[in-house]
Amino acid sequence: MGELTLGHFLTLSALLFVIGMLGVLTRKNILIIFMSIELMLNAVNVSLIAFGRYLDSIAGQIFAIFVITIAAAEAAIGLGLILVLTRRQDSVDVTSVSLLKE
Amino acid sequence: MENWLFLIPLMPLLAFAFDLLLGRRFPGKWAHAPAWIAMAVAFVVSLLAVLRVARTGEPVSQTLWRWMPGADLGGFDIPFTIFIDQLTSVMILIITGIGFLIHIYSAGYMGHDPGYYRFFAYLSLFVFAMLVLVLGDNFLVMFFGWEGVGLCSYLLIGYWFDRRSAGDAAKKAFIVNRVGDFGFLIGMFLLFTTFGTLSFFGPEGIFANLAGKGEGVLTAIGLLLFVGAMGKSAQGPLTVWLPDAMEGPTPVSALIHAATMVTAGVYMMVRAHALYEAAPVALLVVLIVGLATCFIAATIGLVQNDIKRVMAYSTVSQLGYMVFAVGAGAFIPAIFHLMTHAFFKALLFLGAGSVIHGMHEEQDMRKMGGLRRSMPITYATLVAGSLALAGFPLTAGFFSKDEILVGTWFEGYPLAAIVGWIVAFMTAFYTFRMIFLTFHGQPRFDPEHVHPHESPPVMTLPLIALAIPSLLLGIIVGLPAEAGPIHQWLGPVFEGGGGHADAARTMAVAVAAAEEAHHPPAWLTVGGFAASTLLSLAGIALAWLMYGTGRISAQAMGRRFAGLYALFYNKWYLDDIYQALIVAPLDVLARILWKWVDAGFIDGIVNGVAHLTGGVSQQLRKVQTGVVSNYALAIALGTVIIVGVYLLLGPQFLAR
Amino acid sequence: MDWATIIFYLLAAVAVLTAAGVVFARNPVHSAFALVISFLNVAGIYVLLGAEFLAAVQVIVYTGAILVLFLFVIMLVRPEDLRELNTAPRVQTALAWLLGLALFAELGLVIATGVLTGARGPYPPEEVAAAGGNTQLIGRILYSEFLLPFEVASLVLLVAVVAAVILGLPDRFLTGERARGLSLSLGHPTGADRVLEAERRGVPAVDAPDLGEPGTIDTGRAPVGAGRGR
Repeated sequence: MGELTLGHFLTLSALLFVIGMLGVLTRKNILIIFMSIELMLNAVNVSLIAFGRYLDSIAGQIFAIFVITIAAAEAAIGLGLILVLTRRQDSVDVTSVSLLKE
Repeated sequence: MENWLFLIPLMPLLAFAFDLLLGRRFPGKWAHAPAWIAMAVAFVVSLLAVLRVARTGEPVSQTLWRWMPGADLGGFDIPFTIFIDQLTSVMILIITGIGFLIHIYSAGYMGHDPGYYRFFAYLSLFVFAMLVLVLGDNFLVMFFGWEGVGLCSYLLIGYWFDRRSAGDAAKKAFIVNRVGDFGFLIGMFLLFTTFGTLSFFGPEGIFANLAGKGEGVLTAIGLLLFVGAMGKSAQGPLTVWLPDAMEGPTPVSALIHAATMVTAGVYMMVRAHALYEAAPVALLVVLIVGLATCFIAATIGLVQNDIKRVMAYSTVSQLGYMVFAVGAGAFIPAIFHLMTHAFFKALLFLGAGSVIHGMHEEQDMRKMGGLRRSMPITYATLVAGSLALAGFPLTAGFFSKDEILVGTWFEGYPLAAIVGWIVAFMTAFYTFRMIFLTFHGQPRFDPEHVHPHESPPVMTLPLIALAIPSLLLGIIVGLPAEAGPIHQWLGPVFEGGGGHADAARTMAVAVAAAEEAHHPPAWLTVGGFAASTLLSLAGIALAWLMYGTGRISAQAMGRRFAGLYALFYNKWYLDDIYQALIVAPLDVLARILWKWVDAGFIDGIVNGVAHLTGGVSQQLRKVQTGVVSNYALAIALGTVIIVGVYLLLGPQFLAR
Repeated sequence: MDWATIIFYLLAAVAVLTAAGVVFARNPVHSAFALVISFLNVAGIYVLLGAEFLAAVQVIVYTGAILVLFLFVIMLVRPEDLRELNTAPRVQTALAWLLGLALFAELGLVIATGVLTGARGPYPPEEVAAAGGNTQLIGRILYSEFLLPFEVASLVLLVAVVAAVILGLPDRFLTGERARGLSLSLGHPTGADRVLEAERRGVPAVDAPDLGEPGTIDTGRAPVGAGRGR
């Protein structure tokens, strides 16, 4: 592995995370937002595994497995919600949904 | 045996819970059933306990639990003990016995009332509280019952709460009693700081440790406790609530405001007799207050027109007898009179209730008359009670009242005894004034609209049951005078020997010595008999002349003594004095507090805070756009801030 | 620079670029494919980190399952509903960029200062090899130390499955009283309740779209709501 340090992987993780965050914050298409969330989860996984690797711990990978599990559950429900939303609203625009205001 | 003493207070409590929780659901009106059963059981258990006391001559007791027994509480150890000695025996038999009869009577009297179950629930709760009051073996348990009966009195006076006068009377009774209870409470505090305990008996108890305590502090305690007694027994300045308490249903007046609760003050002072004997100044105050109340109430009773108010003032007056007997140190006569009074005054109230019931809720005697034909049983029993109250020779009241007067004379207060005899004359007069106004002469009501009728057996049977002891109790327990069975029965309580092994040992010596010589000379006994007889007959005769035959015009008498009449009729202006001195200034103060302090200041703060919150919220609600992206932005902002904070402080945090 | 580093930079560069593609692509389908590539590259990173098992899981679960699910949904949503949406309002976008840059700067600072350390765990590479490799070790640990979280995770998945099924039910199963319990907006005046209320009164709900025949996809239909004053 040579010159590769923890910092490399954490920087990658941070980049991916911030890109995902930008997606969540700047897009209105709920599908893209969902993908961006997946991206952020992946970024977290990278840092978890990197930490586990550089600290000689297997717990990082275990955590990553749980993150993937939650991501799968979230994807299933989230996509279901998107389907229902498009059926009712004919749109995937999050800004057109403001039920939380009421 | 001693293990089921707890049944005595528990049964009425159960009846209370049963009636209050389930009474409304009973099909038909049988809310009285649990109360009747409870009273009967309590009476039987009481009787068994008393028989045991009679057999052994020793008190019986059962400790249910101890409250705060920890040593680190400064010895504040309150045992909830049921304690029955000869004095308590008299009280519990009165409470459960007369209480039982009044419960029976109530089923008839309250039969048409929609709050039937509520009435019996309260009545049972009252009996419970009253039993706790007399059964406790320390001041705190007594105070618990003391407050409980006050509460029930309030509830029952205000039973017809939709009537404004009833509500007002209930509040008056409650508030006036609070004044007395406050004194009682302070007295208890003083007792505890002085003795380190509130228990009556035992080697650590109050009565065994009176020696060596300063007379000043004992006097203070005695006076403070007497303030409590004044409230409960309607003595002195605190007498004003009892006449108004007649707003309650008549059985309530009979049970609470004649037979039991109002005697609690007398009972308490007799229970604490050792303390009072060590504080002669307090006793003197008790004597004077009792005598004054006795006299004033009797004079007011002379001119009342409401049948229940006559009874009320006569009750106050009779309580005055008991209190000044206590003040004179004649404890046994005081309890004797308490007992006979419980019977004949309960009888009189129930009889008055029967009259009111038969007259369709009419209470004004001026609108009655000639009722003896339409309600013969009520008439006969009421006459029996009146004879006892008037002290007609050989009735119960005759013996007990006579003993008080002779005892007071003998204890060194002949003047008080003479005033007592004057009051006895007045008592006889106003009692038979009531009888003649109500039952004799021509009817003064409209026979077209009012059809007086005799009450049903459920009401008349208790009357008969009470009339018998009213007439005969004196002969049974009062003869021979000053040495009758009642004296032998109560003797141990005051000798401190057999009754309470350790109680009041120090005082007991003196008391016992006094008891040895405590038989008045024969001339005093005979003279007392003669005076009582003559004055009683004279009072009855005067009432007969004025109201029975009309030989002497009552109106003329009223005109001749117009000043006195006005004074008596206006109850010595006691209520007006209170109004001017206490109620009116308080009213002004309350108005100031309301208008300025409450409405201006406190409401200003409250409303200001509300307006501020509302205004801020109006601005803040703009943040709530309902768009998820904006919320996500807030989360991101939070994340940035948290990471920033971590950057600034993190390593240091980790180092710690 | 050894091969591992070179490979890392390659994988990382592609992952970041495709991630940017996910976020900035106009067409959701393009975004989805960019996401696939990004995930595959991240899986390569996992291999570099000695997490072979997770790399496999990443490929199977993310690219295999989740991404396919995304594509399905994209297909199911009518194309006209997928019309390109402009990005969020300018203020929102500007703020998002500001916050993103700030967060990246902060994270960079954290990484550069090297404050993120911890106690060493019990599994250096030799131990992993001794345990029979990465996959065996994860299996052993997962079913011993992390048994309870593992079971809880299975419950979460179960709930997710039930929820997905309920959400996917056609509306004809969601009428009547049962719908009250299953409605998205419990007791809310809008949503399913308003539809039901309108049905009960026999009038069309103002905002309720005509859903067509349940279970069918009517692609030829005009956009629902058009011309209804929406």
